[in-house]
Amino acid sequence: MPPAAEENPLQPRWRADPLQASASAALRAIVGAENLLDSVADRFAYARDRLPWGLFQLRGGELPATLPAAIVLPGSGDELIGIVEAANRLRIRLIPFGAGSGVLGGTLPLSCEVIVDMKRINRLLHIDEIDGTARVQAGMNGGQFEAALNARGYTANHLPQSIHMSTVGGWAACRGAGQASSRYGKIEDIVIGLEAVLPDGRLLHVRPVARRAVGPSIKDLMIGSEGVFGFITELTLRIGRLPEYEAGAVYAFPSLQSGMDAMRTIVQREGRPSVMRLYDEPESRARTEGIEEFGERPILGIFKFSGPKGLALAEAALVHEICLAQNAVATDDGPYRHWEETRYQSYSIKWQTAGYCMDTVEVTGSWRALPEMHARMQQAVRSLHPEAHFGAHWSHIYPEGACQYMTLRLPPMGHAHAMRLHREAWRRIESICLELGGSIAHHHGVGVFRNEWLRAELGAGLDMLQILKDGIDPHNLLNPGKVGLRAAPGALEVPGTAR
Amino acid sequence: MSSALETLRTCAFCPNTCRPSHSAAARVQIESHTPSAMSLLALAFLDGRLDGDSGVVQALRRREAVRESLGHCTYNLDIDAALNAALEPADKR
Repeated sequence: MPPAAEENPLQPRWRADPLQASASAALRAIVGAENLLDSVADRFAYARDRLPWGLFQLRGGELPATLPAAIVLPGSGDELIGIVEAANRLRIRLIPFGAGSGVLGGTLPLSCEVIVDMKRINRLLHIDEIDGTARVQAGMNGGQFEAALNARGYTANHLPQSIHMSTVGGWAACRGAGQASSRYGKIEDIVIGLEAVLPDGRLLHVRPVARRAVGPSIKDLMIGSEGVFGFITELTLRIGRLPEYEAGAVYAFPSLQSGMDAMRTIVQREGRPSVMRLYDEPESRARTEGIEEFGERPILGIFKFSGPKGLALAEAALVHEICLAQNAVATDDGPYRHWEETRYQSYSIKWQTAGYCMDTVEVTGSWRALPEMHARMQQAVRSLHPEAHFGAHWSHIYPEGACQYMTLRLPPMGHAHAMRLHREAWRRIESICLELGGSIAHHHGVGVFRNEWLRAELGAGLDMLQILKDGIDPHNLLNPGKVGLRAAPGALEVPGTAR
Repeated sequence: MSSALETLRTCAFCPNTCRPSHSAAARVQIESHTPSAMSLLALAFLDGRLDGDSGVVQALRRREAVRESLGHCTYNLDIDAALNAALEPADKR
């Protein structure tokens, strides 16, 4: 029998302010009683996203932050506008919520906000086969969106690992990147127009056009805003034909530097394979067991060539020439096939359900800085604990640099000690990144967990964001305390909370 | 029972890779109905962090999304069966 609440040492520590009766009545009147959830159980289920630190807290019996006061489920843009207008009248704080797959705590309630779950606003509205665009509502599941496009012979070419557990609106709100980004661009390149509800209830319409020169990009204020500047409700995305030809290739490189030089040379010579992936030695070893060529050449490179057959074959030939010039050899394509089979799996039962603390950090570095960035970050994490794991790969490749995506893992230990080491690992990585001129975040966003380093990266730019926030959301009602911006008075302090 | 709890622990921290098994039009897209949320709720109920007044008992009866996920789980888990097995001792009391 579960212990009674008064016997439970954890429950009294939860901050769980309920929704005021007037607010509850107003929201019910807009969405209907069945679309306002306020039981403790429902609020508990929405009290997290996939911030690993938050999962560590839950594993230990704690909440990552507060319980939300309630969850409201609008079924249309008009209902959403009604919710935002009511929020302004009654000073209700709101957090937009897609599928909760964010890993930086962007949807965590820090002061018992109301969660606005967007997944009822979830239709593919139109495919324009002349312009090559698709209009879609923000709450549509990413995998279902891509499947609906595929059924018509198209693809959005935005294929994040989280595709099945994220929404299209979430892709844009977090400024995400897909696995084919080196060829097709990131979400900010793929979204050409959008609609959003601003914090005061007004509708923002960014026309879906190929390009504009009408001042700074309003679209880009919303893409990556993580809900602090409004609710993205609808997007127009560039789509493409499904590729007529696809092929993979695997190379073994003698050193990390030779692999980086190959990746850099490929994109600087205008090659754009749809997938380019380079792994450091620990990550390579885990994927190449039993393949002879990796004995002497321990670094794994994976490529995928897609599109019109002639173009894909020409790119494959260019890549082959450049890799051979780096003393690499082509190998069995087993690692490519395994990557294809598991490309949308982001959950490790082995490391994420037991006592380990596993996390991922992605930063952007220049080609000149990346070798040192990798070496120093690896040493910084390994020196935290004799069994600390550090592995890295590079899979978003640009002529000027690349995203360094790192997997960190601490062995089972006491919870408080593990949390200290985990935060210290982040501190060391982000500090080295800043010192070497990189960006602290490539595509996971800021949420709350990265707030600590935003000032160092943005400088006066962070003041510009706060001035904009204060102007369009003077009561700080939309997702306060995220993206480095001011938290609500009395907000719970979690790592990174902005004051 | 321990196997059922192990299954629930695995599911509770999974980011719902089974989510597309629920129709885009279906109400079961609601977060607290998903297999991962149901597993988290069940564990919180069983270890006493959520008591009967929290609405957790009613919440754990909403199994549509959990049943639709059967066969779509990346890890071949049957969360409906695990919930039944884990909650059975509590149901009998």
